[in-house]
Amino acid sequence: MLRIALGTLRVRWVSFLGTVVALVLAVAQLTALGVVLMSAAEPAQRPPHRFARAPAVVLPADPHWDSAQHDLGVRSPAAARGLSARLIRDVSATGTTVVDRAFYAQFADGGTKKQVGHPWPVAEFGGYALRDGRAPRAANEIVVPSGRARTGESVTVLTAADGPGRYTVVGTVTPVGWEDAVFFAAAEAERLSPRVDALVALGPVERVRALVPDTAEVLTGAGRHRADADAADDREALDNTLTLLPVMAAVAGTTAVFVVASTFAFAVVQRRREIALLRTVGATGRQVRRMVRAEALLVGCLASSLGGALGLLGTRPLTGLLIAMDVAPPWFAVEISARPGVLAPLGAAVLTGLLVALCGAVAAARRASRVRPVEALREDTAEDTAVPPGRAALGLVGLAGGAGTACWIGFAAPRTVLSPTAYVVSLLVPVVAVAALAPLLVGPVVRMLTRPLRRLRGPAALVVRQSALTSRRRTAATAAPVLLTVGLALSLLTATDSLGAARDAGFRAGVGAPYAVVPQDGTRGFSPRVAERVARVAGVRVAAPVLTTVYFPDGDGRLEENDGLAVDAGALRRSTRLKVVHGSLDDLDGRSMAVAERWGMEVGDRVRTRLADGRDVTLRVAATYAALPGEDVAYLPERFAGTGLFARDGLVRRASLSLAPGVDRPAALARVRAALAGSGAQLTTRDGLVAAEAAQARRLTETRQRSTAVIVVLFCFVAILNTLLMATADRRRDLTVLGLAGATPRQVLHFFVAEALLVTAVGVTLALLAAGINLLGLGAALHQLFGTAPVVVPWAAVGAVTAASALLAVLGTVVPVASALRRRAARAVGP
Amino acid sequence: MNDDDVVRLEALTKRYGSGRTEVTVLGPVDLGFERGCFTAVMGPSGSGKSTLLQCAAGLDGPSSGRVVLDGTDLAALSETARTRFRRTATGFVFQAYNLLPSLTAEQNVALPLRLAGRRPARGEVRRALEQVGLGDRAGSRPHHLSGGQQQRVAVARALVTRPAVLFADEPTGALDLTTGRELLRVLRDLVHSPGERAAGTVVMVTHDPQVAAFADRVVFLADGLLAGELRSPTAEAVAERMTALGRPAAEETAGAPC
Repeated sequence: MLRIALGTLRVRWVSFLGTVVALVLAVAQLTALGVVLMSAAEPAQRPPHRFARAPAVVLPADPHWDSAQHDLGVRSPAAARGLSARLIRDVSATGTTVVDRAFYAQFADGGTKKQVGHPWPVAEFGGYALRDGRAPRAANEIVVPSGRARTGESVTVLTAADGPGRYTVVGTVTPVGWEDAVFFAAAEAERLSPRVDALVALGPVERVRALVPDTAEVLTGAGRHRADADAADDREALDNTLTLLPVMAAVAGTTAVFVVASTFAFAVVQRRREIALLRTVGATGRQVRRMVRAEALLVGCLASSLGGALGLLGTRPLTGLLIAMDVAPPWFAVEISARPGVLAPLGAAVLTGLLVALCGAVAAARRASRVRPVEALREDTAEDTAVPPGRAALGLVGLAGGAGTACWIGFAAPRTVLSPTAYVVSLLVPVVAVAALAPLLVGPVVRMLTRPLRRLRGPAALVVRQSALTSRRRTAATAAPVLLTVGLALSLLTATDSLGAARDAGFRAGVGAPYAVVPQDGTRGFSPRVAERVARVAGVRVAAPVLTTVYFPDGDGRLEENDGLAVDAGALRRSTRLKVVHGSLDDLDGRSMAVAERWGMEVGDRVRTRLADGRDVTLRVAATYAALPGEDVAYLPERFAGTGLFARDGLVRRASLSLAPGVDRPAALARVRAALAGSGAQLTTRDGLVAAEAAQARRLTETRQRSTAVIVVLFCFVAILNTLLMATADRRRDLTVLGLAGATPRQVLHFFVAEALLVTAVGVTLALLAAGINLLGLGAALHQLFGTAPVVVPWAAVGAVTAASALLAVLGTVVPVASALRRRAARAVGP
Repeated sequence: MNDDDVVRLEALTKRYGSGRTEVTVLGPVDLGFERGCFTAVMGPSGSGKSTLLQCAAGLDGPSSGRVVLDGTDLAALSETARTRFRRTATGFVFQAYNLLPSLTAEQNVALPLRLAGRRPARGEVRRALEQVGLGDRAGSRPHHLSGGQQQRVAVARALVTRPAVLFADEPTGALDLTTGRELLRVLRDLVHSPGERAAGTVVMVTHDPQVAAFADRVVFLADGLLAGELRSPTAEAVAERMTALGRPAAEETAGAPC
């Protein structure tokens, strides 16, 4: 049978090419995504920078703290507190030590967004050397990279401790690529940032190691990279990649698997007559099945290995795409070599391709083996219009599952929509289920769509309608990729936009003040001193919470971290509209806090709390409030604002501002603006704030879902073109018959184009059905989470995807039909 | 009917549809095809002749009645067993699309043997091709062969298993007059030539009196029922009978056995 399989491959290459293309692309996609995902999960192989010239670096460490399980930017209690004075004293006994601190130090104008302050003595270990001038000695002297300022210049530097401060540049160093530093005198650096981030130890490494307790670790060699500020950035940058890729892989994988399986099934359907002929000649059902399996195995091996190779080549464009979409850091690269991180995903993808090809073909082969020999005798390849019960059952179960999932998400677990990984995958279920049921649904949908066209005079409506109806399987197979494309695009993009809109509405509802003070573009925040200065303006009320971290015991003796905002209780009451569930914000005082309801604390509880600077305090829960995941913080007394310098950078992310009744508005605002001049912060209105926040919050989620949509839609586009090429190339006979019936080539072309458009319309209708299920669930979930939240459909984007699908469908039809017509014409005039 | 019949149809009927939409397209028919005889089944369009042929060849199951082929009752066999039996005991040639386009003439001819899990013996396939006058086209693919050549390859394939009966459904339907005649001569030689392969049995369906005239015996069918037969027919006699088929009272059989 192998020979027949081989021979068939050789002759029916159009049909096989279709399956090969689908499989190659699917496996390539899976391989590329898998390899990139594994590479992103591997630790970045980057050289140490900041301590490249230090033999050993001591860093605070917490053996129970796995940073991968905590939010980015959150320090462990040990890291927040920094190295203790005792440890520094002990290590200093082994030899010379140099203290490093890293803190917010931003030029008021002309700096990059990521300037960082360090004490000067540590500069030499990063390879810095003075180009001109001298080292800073006095508190108001700094050294900066050349190009940032010239020696002798006087500049304003924003710090968390002081707000704006005047400094004199006393020297410059050669700029480096990995940071934009401002070097202060050691004492000034200590005043600005009390936390010791790292300690360079020049003494014998073994002795240092022996001394260091388990609250610190000693880094040497390549490990020193972990002490770099950009090591955290690396993780942050890759964190996006790591959350996005599995979603992409899941969506792309499911789509690919479905497309490949249906393509193989379709290829078998196309060969019904041949299979019937084999049956007449005396092939038993088993022999037919074996032959189809052999073919699938052949094609599967060939295409999967090709796809694997293509996928490896594709990792480069994929990383390029990820970097371009800002989902991966610019330095991210995948090295292709024979290591488990490459071989495992490659093998898995190739095997998946092979299995899917086999499964798709085996299901079709079972059907094929039931082809009765008599069918070979029929003039027309009348196709069976019935859906096999197995597929119908599977589709119905899928549909019920999809509807069930949508209901569950909508009514029981609305928070699911906030977690991209789980939600995006659940969006697939109804779409794939409808695709599986397509042959069953094609009849009613075609009748419904063509009903208004019945009045038309021309023969096109009749021919097209009947052709689509008699070959339901073909119609379904060609409509399936359109359905997947439009259904997924509609579901994904609508979910993203609706969620964004709902979040914006929720955020807007939570902002109680008409004005806000926000950091200037791109910087992380502004000093609480700036907020104080604004608060001194007559008739102005300011609430300026400082972001910090608090650690609560989680019951297992470990500490669980949560974001905290240290803010004046009165200002909090005036400026935000928290949905208080129990207790009252009026009870907030210097010894109490308000926490998210979902943390499980009760009003009146006294909670032992570890602050970022290492202090332990007991705080009473004065109120609990309803918070969305990711927006839950502890509102702490203002007196803990200083812990922000340890936990984070001691900055205010955003301050609310309102005017006392009866104040001259323009005059007060002018005074506020004057107070903010040169402070690194600016005044904005509530609308401006909402817009800015929305842009910031949306950027990431939208990039994630859009890039998933882009990859899936691109693949689906190929599938549409592929399937229609396959389907149309197989219909030479229809061409001939139409020609014999007196249709001009032009009319023939029109028939086929009309049919392609009908197929697209069928796909879009089914997509609307599937997406409708998703969107109902989404609407219900958003309603529960945010109150009245409309479902926002990005019609422009969905319309564009639909139009592109239609265009490709027409293209996939016109090209083979036109070439067949041309060939026929050539034959007619030929000898 | 007599014991020399290689195919016997007993009270054969074939119905399509069910309930109110049920249509009887054939039967009841009692008919035998003698060994070593070239029989043509004739009838107007829709007379059930193709259905009769497919049932007789075991390609399709009857609604009721029996088909005994070379001593085996087809109804008693399972689908797979029937396929295996058909593979060796019968050969079948259709009007067109007989060949797998992916295989050469030789491979197409060898197909039934390979499907039976047998390696074709040396020259076995070549001999079948030579028998139909295509010994030199063994390596050609179907699309390089003319319509008549394709039909002859189909005949060679039908013969390669040395079947008890060769069934042909309008084998010349897609051919022009000359090539059609060549094919019919090939079929007649299978039955009557003095060579080793002689004394084969051929059952052919046609609607063309010219084609039917090549047969030893012509059986007429109208509205699914037998409507008489002719022995050693001439084209004119067949045509005359065909024209008369519309009228009632079918005449009695005439002519000598073959």
